Amino acid sequence: MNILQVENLKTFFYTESDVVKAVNDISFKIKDNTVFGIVGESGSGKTLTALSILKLLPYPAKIMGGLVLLDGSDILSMSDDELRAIRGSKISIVFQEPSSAFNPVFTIGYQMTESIFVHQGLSAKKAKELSLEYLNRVHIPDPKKVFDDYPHQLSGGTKQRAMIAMALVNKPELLILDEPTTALDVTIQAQVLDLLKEIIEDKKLSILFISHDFGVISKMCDEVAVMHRGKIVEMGSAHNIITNPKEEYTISLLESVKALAR
Amino acid sequence: MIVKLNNVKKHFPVERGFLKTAAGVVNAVDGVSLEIGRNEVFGLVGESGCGKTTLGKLILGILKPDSGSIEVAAKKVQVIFQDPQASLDPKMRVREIIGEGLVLSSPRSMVHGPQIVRKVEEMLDLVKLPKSALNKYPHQFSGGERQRIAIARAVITDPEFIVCDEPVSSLDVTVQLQILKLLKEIRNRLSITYLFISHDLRVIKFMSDRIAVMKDGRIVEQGPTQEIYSNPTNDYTKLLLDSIPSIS
Amino acid sequence: MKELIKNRIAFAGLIFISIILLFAFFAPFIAPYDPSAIDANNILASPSLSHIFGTDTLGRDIFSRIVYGSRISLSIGFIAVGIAVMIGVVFGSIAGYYGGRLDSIMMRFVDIMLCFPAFFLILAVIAILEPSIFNIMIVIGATSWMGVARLVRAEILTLKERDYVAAAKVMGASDARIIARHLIPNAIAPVLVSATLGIGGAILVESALSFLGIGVQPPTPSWGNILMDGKSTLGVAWWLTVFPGIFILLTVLAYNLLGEGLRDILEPRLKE
Repeated sequence: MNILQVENLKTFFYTESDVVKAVNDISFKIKDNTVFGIVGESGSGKTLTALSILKLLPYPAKIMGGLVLLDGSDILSMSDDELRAIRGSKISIVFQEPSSAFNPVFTIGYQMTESIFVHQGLSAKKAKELSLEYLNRVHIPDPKKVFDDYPHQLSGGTKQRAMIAMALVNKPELLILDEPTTALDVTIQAQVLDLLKEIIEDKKLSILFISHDFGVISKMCDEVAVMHRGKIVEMGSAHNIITNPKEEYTISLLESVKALAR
Repeated sequence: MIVKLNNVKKHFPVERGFLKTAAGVVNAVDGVSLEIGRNEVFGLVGESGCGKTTLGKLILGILKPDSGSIEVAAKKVQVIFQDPQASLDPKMRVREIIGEGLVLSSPRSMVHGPQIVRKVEEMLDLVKLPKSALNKYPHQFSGGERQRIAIARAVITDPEFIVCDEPVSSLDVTVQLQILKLLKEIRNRLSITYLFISHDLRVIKFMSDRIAVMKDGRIVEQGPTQEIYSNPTNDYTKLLLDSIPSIS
Repeated sequence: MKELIKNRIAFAGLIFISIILLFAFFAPFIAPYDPSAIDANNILASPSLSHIFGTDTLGRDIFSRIVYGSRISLSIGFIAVGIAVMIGVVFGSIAGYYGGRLDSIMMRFVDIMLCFPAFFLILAVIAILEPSIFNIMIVIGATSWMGVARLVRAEILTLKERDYVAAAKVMGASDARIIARHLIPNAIAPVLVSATLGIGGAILVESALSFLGIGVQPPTPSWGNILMDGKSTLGVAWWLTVFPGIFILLTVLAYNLLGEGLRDILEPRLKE
């Protein structure tokens, strides 16, 4: 019933002089087929939370405690091999910067089929067919051309769509999106968000959506957790949090957004 | 009128290949005409690549137009940039950064001159930073604080016109609001004209009296903010306004 | 500074260099004998308690000569590199800042200078002028500024696009002020590394010149010319070759280690 269960997760940064408690004892659950949002400003720990779930932490960060259950299995105690099998197939992630997620020296098609080989073991022909199908599904106008293109030949919006296609091609059960539209122009952002909504309805996927933008979160998410300095300060349905915020930080965040809103 | 642009054009050649042969031209600014009135906040909004930053640089004199005329009737023009990390010299102390404008306009005085220090302290008060900031380096401050330093630097020479190029885009939303309010306060107190450039429609609406929407180097619509937001006539403007994710 | 201490290898280099610097400054107090004192009774004496590094063909104490020689080697190293850095920084910043044809012409000049095998160029110049310490410093400096120029130019190409440079221009800063006040201080880190490594190189060049007889002239002791004396007596008096050789080796190694350590400290920070 809960595709993801996080309990008392702690991820700290150990530098020479200090310990930074970037993720400081957070707990939340994502039900099957829902979109769960984490909203917070820079430094709140939201990205590290996503990376902790995948155990993809950058160097001085370490998971210091807690439990992460993906569909009942304990991720934090898995071996590297087991994790590799899951990443890209059971859980997938789409990052903020479309240009840095793709390797610039390989074509989009090569990178997509590589991921398919690793997780599904299909033949080259079948892998290409599958890739083209997904590139089409994310409304890329000329999938065959994009398949053979290098990342630098594509616009930001197209790259992000391709990243989403690549994240979906192995039929993940949980898709994590970390600020997927922040680096895009506002008109493109709207298109990509509409695409994501379509995919959610179509595919019965569970999604963890991370953003600093309350407007985007309110459009996309069913449940929301508000993070501030490593802790979840408030959590509940998106509707409740926005219409009836209880915590001071949530209120000030919403006020800033409303002050600038249409 | 403090700024008047008439059919300004600026293009950049596109170089291809090893020998850098010209393969074409990018019309960054393709025939822009606009006027900015005294004490006005003029908002320039558009998505990436529309030419708004190039236009800002042309108005500042950092770039020269290929054709058309730019008249700026202000003797002192200043600028506030987007990235507070890159807009402050990391090797200079805050008092030197803010004081530099004064030093450049009055060559005989040194940065330590008591007059200059007094003026710098005044500026720190204005942007609500503590006096202890004087001897610190930029990396010791947060993004929002660095932007305040940038604002202090821009205002210390009593400019009549300031170009703000995406001044809050890299800041957190709560900090954005603080900085925008500060900019408004300063404008009111010191009667400064702003050219406010941003891709964020919400920010532009908050700040501007009149706005111009840019696309592909051209202005597709301009007018008073209220009118454009409630009654957009151009299709692109409508598309932009519809794309803003709002809290329902 | 703290980080320098943590990097053990670089710190070891720093310690050794400090020892040599002490030798150089306090030579009169450290050296047991006058380096030019000739002792006819003690020619080519092997290392002993009274002459810990032995004596040379004129009975002079090798240890004292090495201690005084450190003054020569170090000062030539510092000054030659100082000259190279000054020329290189000015050249590189002008080329990098102004760009365009000026940059092309200046960099082609650098390329041409790099084509000359530096050592032979130095040999040729010294052969024409007289081999004095002053000339050596200038010649080494004048043939090693090119690397610095390239480094500075590269840094400036990146830095001049930064917003704080544009802000300074809008404020009315002159080109000279922008280069001196904003660009050079921010570009200096790789130059520091290069200069440190360069000192080691300069010491080697001086030693080579002195060894060949066209560097520092006797009786002034330099590590290189002690080696020169040792050339003919290698079979009989190994100490004339080994000790100065070890000092040259360790000093150059120390500068290299310090330079590498500085690179580790300064360069990752540059990426922030």
